[in-house]
Amino acid sequence: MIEVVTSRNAPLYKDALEQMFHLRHRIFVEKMGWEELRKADRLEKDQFDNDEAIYLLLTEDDGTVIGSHRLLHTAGPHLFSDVFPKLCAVKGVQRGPKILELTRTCVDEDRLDKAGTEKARRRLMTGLFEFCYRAGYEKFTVLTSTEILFRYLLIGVEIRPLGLLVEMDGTKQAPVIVTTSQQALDDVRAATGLPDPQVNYIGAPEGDPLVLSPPRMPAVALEAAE
Amino acid sequence: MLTASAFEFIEQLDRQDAIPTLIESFQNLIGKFGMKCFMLGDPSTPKIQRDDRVLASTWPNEWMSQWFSHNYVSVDPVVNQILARNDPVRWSETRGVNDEAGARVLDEATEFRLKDGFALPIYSRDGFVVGISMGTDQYDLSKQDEACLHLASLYFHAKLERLRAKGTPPRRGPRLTPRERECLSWVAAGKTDWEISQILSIAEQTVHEYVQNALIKLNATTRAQAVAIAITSQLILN
Repeated sequence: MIEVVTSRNAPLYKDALEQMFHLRHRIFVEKMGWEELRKADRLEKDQFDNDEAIYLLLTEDDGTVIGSHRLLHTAGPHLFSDVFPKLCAVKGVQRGPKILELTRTCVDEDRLDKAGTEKARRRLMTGLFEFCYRAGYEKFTVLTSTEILFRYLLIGVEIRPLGLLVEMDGTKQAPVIVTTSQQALDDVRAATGLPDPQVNYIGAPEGDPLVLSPPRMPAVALEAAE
Repeated sequence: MLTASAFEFIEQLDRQDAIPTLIESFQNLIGKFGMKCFMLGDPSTPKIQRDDRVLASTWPNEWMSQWFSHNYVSVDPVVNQILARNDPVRWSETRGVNDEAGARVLDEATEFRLKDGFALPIYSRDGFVVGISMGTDQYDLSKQDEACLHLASLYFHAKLERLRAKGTPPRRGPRLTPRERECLSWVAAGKTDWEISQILSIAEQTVHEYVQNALIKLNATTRAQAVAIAITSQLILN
């Protein structure tokens, strides 16, 4: 299950969020060597981990966080606008109330074996598209590796470049904008083999600006009551 | 402006639904950059048929025939460089000091008015790598131009793969993945799992798994039998 966490339901997820920040530190600082993000308390947080951020947490049955996404509203400050403005030089920084920026996607590769990591990545990808579609967001921007770009394109997801490839961490990365329509969600589900709803947003007070439309369930035969 | 052309090409890919027109539109794009032709294909699997090696090409037919009949895939310094360095290369920069065989390939290309060119590796499925190589009689690409062609090539390749997947009639007989076929080809060439792991830079255990999967798919009990079946089914070349 993927839990959606915002500032409004964060009190329910104190421990899970801390696990996420620890995971991010292990992956981005300790594993990938992004030293500029290192923190003494080993909780990887930056100026964008604020009240506006939306987190998608992938958890195991016992609640252990094994992967996560961070989504930022592009209307406000985000990475492409504030930290890496040159990356989107060709098409310009994309901003809008229905456009999110995806960053800090990670999976706990140390804890999971190869098959488990692949499954976690698929769940995170499907959950991302499901969340965006059900929450009414139309697109997300992201700096992604050329391998993931290829996977998206092969699935048939509409993905467009915002700038030229850039070299980071010894690999080529692509700044892109991805469309998250119902068709995209169906295509991703068909490709990852995960048809069931994966995403859950609970505990937010009434009147919360973030509302997920009901999941579209495949038609199932109802068991007769005995 | 050339950058705009590259981005427009990528954006109109959504509307492409047939391989011949897709190839034509990519050929048009690279033409704006002064490139005369391109070849997109598998540079590394040994002993496969030409039709399996080439995904799309507008190289002059005679050059293609020469390149394949002389098995240049194994000596072309452009191929070696894009596999070794994992980065885009300019043909003229691959000319090595002691590499006579490689120099001969580059020289022969000039007979077809391909005096220089631009090539790069592209990640395909399962960590597999294909290569694209485009030639010209006059190389005028700036770094920005090269970056545009790189980006356009990625999108072009992905679109081509998508159209090929949609259009493929179900193949009769066993289907090996590119990696399985690659490993079995090296087995046919007499290599051990360890040697193959060194050649492909993957773990020996992974090689073993690929070969075992191939045996299962080909319904073979020994490696020799798997090789024989693969050759008869034309999955690998003798």
